[in-house]
Amino acid sequence: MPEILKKVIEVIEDNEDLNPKISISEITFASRFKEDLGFDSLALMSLVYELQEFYPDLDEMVISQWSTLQDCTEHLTKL
Amino acid sequence: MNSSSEKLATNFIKCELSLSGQLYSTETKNNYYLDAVSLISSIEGQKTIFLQEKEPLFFSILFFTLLDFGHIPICVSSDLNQFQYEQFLKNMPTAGWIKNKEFTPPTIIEQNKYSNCYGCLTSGTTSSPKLCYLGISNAKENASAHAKSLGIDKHHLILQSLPLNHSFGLVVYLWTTLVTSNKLDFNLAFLGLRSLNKRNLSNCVIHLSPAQSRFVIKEKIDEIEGMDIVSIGGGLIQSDEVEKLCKKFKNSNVFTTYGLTEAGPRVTSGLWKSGKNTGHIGKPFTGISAKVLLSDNKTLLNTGQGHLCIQSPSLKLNLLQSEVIQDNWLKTRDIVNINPQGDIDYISREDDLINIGGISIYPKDIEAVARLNPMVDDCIVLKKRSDMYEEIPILVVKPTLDVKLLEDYLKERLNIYQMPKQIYSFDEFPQHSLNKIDRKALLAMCESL
Repeated sequence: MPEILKKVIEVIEDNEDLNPKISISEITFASRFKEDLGFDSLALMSLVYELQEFYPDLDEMVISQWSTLQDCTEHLTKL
Repeated sequence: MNSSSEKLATNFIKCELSLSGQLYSTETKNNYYLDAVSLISSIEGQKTIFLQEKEPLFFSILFFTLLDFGHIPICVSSDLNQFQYEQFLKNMPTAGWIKNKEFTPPTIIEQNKYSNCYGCLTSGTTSSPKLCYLGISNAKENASAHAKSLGIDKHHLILQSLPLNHSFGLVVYLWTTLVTSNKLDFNLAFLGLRSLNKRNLSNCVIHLSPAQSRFVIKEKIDEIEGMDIVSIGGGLIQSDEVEKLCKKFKNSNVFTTYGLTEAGPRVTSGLWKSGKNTGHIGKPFTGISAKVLLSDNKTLLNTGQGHLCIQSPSLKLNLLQSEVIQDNWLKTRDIVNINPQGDIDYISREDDLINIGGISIYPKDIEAVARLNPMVDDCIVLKKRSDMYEEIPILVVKPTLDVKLLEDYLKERLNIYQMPKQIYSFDEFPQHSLNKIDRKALLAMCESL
């Protein structure tokens, strides 16, 4: 599994507010934040705040463009 | 169509509008307006039209332009799933649809009996949508009264943090900007303190849901300046939480407020002061009256505890007989206490609603969709306490089945708030002696797993 996806999944697993609807082992690039993980805008913002610890240049407003884990990891790769 | 001085859309785009702090240019505003007029002027006759658009300025311009042309927009979320879309069309074949700059005409042509109004959905997509028609002049009046109660004027910058398509968003962002000429900043993502802190804030206004308020309280930022007015849905937040918000929003006027779509939607507000009760939601705006209905369902009183009843010039146009009592008092599902000074404290909602961070969902809407699945013989939605969201729905089905398969089925048909946080399946449900499902015992069975 690519490192960046592993990192994002680790962040999701460690955040007690997030509680994804699928098990951690089922999360893939194609997983949709809303439909598959059950994340609303607050949960996504929680995720972004955690990711900002590792990616300080990450702008919170970007969550409006993220539908899938792939969108998220592609964005992080460019930072 | 309205005369040029009365055109809602052109008056709206005269206001200072931005997206995440970046001003929209005059050219962008005009281009969106021309696109809207080009699309809408080709629609024949007066139509009821579902409006679905992600770009917030274009959504706003389409909304007002549809009204200018005498149509009735019904605002829906920009991210409906296919099942919800089909259900809306099935339940309202007399409505057209605007999406992606295209108009799909209705399958049945029928004049709406209402006019000079727009539609807002209150909940559910599995049966006929619960649609409220709100009058244009009533919306302006409601927006004006709401703005006045909070002290919002043309010098303020309102930061959008809640959906535009809901009755609340339409009034506190779009109609308020139109009547007050304040500045409006659209945002596609929730504004936590961290993102607010990055902006140079001054004279700002923000409206927060209870869930957003709790998020902000948990943020590791002690305080933020530049917010003149903060308003919070007051019915579902504890007094100590409001106190914490007051500390975070330094030098802000913090208001707790209340409303419901059927009432226009805004109803009350109160400036928060230390010592106020949990659930304090202030007083009704000028022109709006509130009373309590006692449990005998007949006695309406100015003070005391009971179902909140509202008289307002902004009540929805399509009130049902069953929704009003006596002289056109709208009976709500909220239990409140009104003191002799007219201050209102919200106590609770009726039991059958689930409140997820300020958003109400009806269990029966979720149950109806679950029952469509051939694996499910019977089901019930229970509510469970949640620290973050206040309440969450859990679904329990009969018989024992593959919960994952059912989950996959539901997530293509329910919106994110309706989606059960947990699903359990059993071969039998525990029952009371009267053959009714014993909800407490069932919840205990779920929690024991």
